[in-house]
Amino acid sequence: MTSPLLARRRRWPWGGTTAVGMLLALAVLGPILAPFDPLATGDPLADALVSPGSRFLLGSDDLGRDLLSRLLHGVRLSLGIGLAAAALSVGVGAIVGALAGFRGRWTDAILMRGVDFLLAFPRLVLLLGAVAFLDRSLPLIVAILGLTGWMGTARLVRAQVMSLRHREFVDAGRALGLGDARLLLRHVLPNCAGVLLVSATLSVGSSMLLEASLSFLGLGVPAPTPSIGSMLAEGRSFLASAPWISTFPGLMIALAVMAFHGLGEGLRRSFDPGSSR
Amino acid sequence: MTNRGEPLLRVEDLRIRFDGSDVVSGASFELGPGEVLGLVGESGCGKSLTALAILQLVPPPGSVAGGKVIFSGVDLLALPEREMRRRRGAEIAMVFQEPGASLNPVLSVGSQVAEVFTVHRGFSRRAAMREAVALLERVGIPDAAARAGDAPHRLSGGQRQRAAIAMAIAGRPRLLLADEPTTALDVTVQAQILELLRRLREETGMAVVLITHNLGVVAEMADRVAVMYAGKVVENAAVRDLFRRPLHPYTQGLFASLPDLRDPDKALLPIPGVVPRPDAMPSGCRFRDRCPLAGEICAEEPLLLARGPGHAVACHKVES
Repeated sequence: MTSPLLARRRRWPWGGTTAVGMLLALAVLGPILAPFDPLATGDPLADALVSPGSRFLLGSDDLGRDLLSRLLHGVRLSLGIGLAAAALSVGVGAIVGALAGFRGRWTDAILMRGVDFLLAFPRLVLLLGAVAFLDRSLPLIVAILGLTGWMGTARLVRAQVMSLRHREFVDAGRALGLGDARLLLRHVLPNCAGVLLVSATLSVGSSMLLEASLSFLGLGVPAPTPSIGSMLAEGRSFLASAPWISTFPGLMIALAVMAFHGLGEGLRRSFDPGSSR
Repeated sequence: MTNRGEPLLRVEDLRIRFDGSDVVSGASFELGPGEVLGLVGESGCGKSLTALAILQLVPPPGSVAGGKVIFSGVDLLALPEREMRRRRGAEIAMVFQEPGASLNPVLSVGSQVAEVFTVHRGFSRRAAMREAVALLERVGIPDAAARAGDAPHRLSGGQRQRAAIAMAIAGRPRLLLADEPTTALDVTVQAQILELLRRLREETGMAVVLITHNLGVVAEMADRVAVMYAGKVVENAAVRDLFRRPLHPYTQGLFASLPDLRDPDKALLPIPGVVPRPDAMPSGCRFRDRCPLAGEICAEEPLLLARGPGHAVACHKVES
C-alpha cells in the first residue's frame, strides 16, 4: 500500500512546469515590463502600423498602440480567466463526480445522466447562447466557461471514487463510526488529488483557448480591454500589410495552451501507473 | 458459562444471507465485560462476517437475515444507522487483518488517530493530535511524535498494525473486535502484537472478540473459545476445557491436525474433505459429510447443548 501522491509518482514533468512558470511570471510581471500604456493610442501617421523594431519591439497596431504592452496585459487577463474558470469547473466536477461515485445507485444514475445530457451540447454553442442573452462582463465569462467545462472532470472523479469506495480504509473508517460526509471529504477525495490536478491543468489551457475564441468572435471581454482573442481579430484586416498584429497574439495563445497541456499530460503520466512514456 | 451477571455481548442465532444462501446460520455466543473470546474456524466459515454483523456493516449484497446482537442490553440489529454510527468506534471498535489497509494512504498516521478523538470525544484538533501522539507512544511506536506526521507506508507492518490498534482503542471502546490481527505479520511481530493486545485489555478492561484460525493464539489470549464451522458455532467452552477435552468431532479434528511438540513423531491427521459450499450445505449437521462419527441421526440439526459446566456442543454423538 503506497500513497498515490508520494510513491506512485514517477518523474515530475519539469518541462511543462517551467513553461507554465514562465507564463505565470509573464502574467504577473506583465504590467511592469510593458513599455507603454496598452490603451494609449498614438499619432495615426507616425505611430500606426509600425513594423517590429527598435521603437515598438513587436510593432504597433492601426491605432498606434504598442503591441507588446497589449500582449502582456492580454496574457494576464487570459490566464486569469483560464485559472478562475478551471478552478470553478474542477470544483463543480469534483463535487458532482464524488457524490455520484460515492453514493452510487440513484444519485449516480441521475447525476451521470445529467452529465451525458450536458455533454450532448456543443460547448461553443452553449457559450454563444449564454453570452448573447446576458450582459457581458468578466465574472460572467468566467462563470459560463467554468460551468460548461466540468463534465469531463466529474466523470474522472466518479471513476476514481468508485474504486476507492471499496478500499479497506473506507470500511475501517466506517467501523470507527465516521459518517459518509467525513469519509468522502477527508478520506476519499484527497486520494483523488492526482486526477484533480491533471484535470485542472488541462482545463486551464482549454478555458484560455475558449476565451480567445469568444473574444475573437467579439463576444468576450468588452473592448478596449486587451485580450488575446480580440487582438487576433483586430489584426485580421491587416494580415497582408501588417501581419505582426495577428501573428504575435496567435503565437502567444498557442504557446500558452501548449504549456498547460504539456504540463497536464506530464502530470497525468507521472500519476497514472498504467501508462508509460 | 461463568456467572458474571449480564453479559456485555450476546449473539443469538445470527443469520447472514448472501445471494439466497445462509453463509452464517445460527451463530450464538456471549461474553462478559473484560473477557476475551476466541472465535475460531477455517477461512470462510463466517467469523469475519459475524464481527461485521455486530457492527451492522455486512457488505452488500449480504444482509443479516435473523437473530439478535445484544450489546449491553440493546439489540444492535434493531438500531437505526445514526445510533449505530455513534457506537462504532466509541463502544465497539474493530481491528482488521491486513496491517495498514485500514489506514488511509494519503493522510498522516497521527491525524488518523486524532480523528477518532475529535469525532467521538469532542477534542479540539490540537488536543486530539496531542492525545494521538500519546496513544501511539502507548501502543509501542518508537519516536511517536515524529512518526505521527508520517504517511502509513513509511511504517513497518507491525507498526502499522499498532497504529490501527491505536485508532481502534482511541474511542475507549468496551468491546474490541480483532479480526485475525496477527495473521499477516511476521512471527516475531505476531507475538509483540498479541502482547500489546493483552496489555491494553488489562489496562482498559475492554472485552475482546479475537477472530483467528490459530489455536496457539487462542491458547495465549482467550478466556473462552467459540468454534465455528460452516457458519455455525459448534462448540463453546472455557479455553482450558476446550484444550483438555474437545468434544465436537470437528474441534477434535482441529487438534489432531496440529503438530505436538511432546510427540514429534505423531502423524498429523488432516480432516478429510472440504468445507461444503454455502449453496450446497448438507441438511442437519453441516459437518456430517466429513465426520468419522456421522450416523443417521446427524441428518437432524443438532442443537448447541450444555455437556459440562460452561461447555456447550452441537453434536448428536457426544455423550454427556
